[in-house]
Amino acid sequence: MKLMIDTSNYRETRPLLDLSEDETIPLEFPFGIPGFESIHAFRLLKLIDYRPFVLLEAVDDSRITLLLVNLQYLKSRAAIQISRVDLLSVGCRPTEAAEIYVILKIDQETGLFTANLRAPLVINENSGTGRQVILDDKSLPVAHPLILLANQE
Amino acid sequence: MRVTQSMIARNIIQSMNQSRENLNTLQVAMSTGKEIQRPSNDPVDFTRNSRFRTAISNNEQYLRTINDSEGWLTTTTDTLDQFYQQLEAAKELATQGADESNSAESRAAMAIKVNGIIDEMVSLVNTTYMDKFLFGGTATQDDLPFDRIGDTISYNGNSGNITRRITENHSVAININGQQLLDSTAFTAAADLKTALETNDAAAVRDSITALRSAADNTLILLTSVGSISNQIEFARQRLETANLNLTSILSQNEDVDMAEAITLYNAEEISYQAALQSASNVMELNLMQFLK
Repeated sequence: MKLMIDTSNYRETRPLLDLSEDETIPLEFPFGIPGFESIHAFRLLKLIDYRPFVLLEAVDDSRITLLLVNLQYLKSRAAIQISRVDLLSVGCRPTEAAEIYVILKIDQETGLFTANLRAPLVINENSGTGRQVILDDKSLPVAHPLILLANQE
Repeated sequence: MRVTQSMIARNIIQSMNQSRENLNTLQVAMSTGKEIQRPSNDPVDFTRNSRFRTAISNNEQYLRTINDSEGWLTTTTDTLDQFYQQLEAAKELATQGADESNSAESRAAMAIKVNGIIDEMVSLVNTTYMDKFLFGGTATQDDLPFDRIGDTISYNGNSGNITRRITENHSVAININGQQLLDSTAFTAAADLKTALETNDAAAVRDSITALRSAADNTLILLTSVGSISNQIEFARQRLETANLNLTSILSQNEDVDMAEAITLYNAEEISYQAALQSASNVMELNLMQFLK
């Protein structure tokens, strides 16, 4: 069964600037992430200066850091569906919220950020567990131009 | 000084151009600025980034292997599916031939059709992919794996596995060898049906129905096995592609301009440009309304 992430199992959109101080959230990725399967200990850095971007940093190697943005700030989030199985894999009960992040990179040609919508990170901050899931929907782009909701309002 | 409408418009345009210019400058810096070009710049980072690039390159090699393997497996699946269809056709003939009302002549005519089915089955198991026999074991480029002499099918290949490394720690056998096809009893069951029809032996024809059903089931098991390998390979492909995207994302941060600065400026300039656009829009609307009045 598939669930739409922006309704029952997804947090309501928060204001972009709703961050009064830096936050560090320790996270365990039991399976690592593709490319770094042996690394399990990460931390999520929510830095005021980076908002709304956040960093996922390997605890033992700060150079292994991914730049993320919460899916709730993206225009194209509706097409992304996270299965109940994937939510359960990070310890989410049916009524519990999960944070969904997408990984960003700089497009070498345009110099602009793009987001990988095909393989988001599902993070349960309560249990401190995360997982990168690869979605079945092959139409989801892996380098989608980043457009934040705040820029359209 | 009186502030005219044209001065307001000029200021807005200048503001927009300045914002756009800043944004462009930043984007150019982000697209071209690489901090690490020489090992002497930062040996530790350079070594680490080289390791990431090597990992990407290795993954691309695995992906090429996977592409080739998928072609092999798709052809194998198509061939085994046609092989299965031939067995189903033989079973249909056996069901017809088992009817007591058939004459010896009609069974002989069915035997000729079964003979053609056996020829087709032999042709299928000698299929090649990229000039290599699919079902010859590791003897992929020698003589035809299967020969038919009379009703005897001989196998000239071996029972070796063709393995492909699809990730650093995982290899899979991608082939079904000819011995597995012989063990499926498909050829024996088809040949027995042909003989039973030629000898007008209704009881033996009935027995062959069960044998052909069993052979078809065995072929389905082989097809399922190929499907399982295909799934493993598809899973590996997804992991490798995602791994390379992750590695590329990290490299783009390690090698490009200071990300913290880029993010801060990116946000500030985006917001500034949006604000300038919004102001211009308000003024334009006002002027248009006044004009209409």
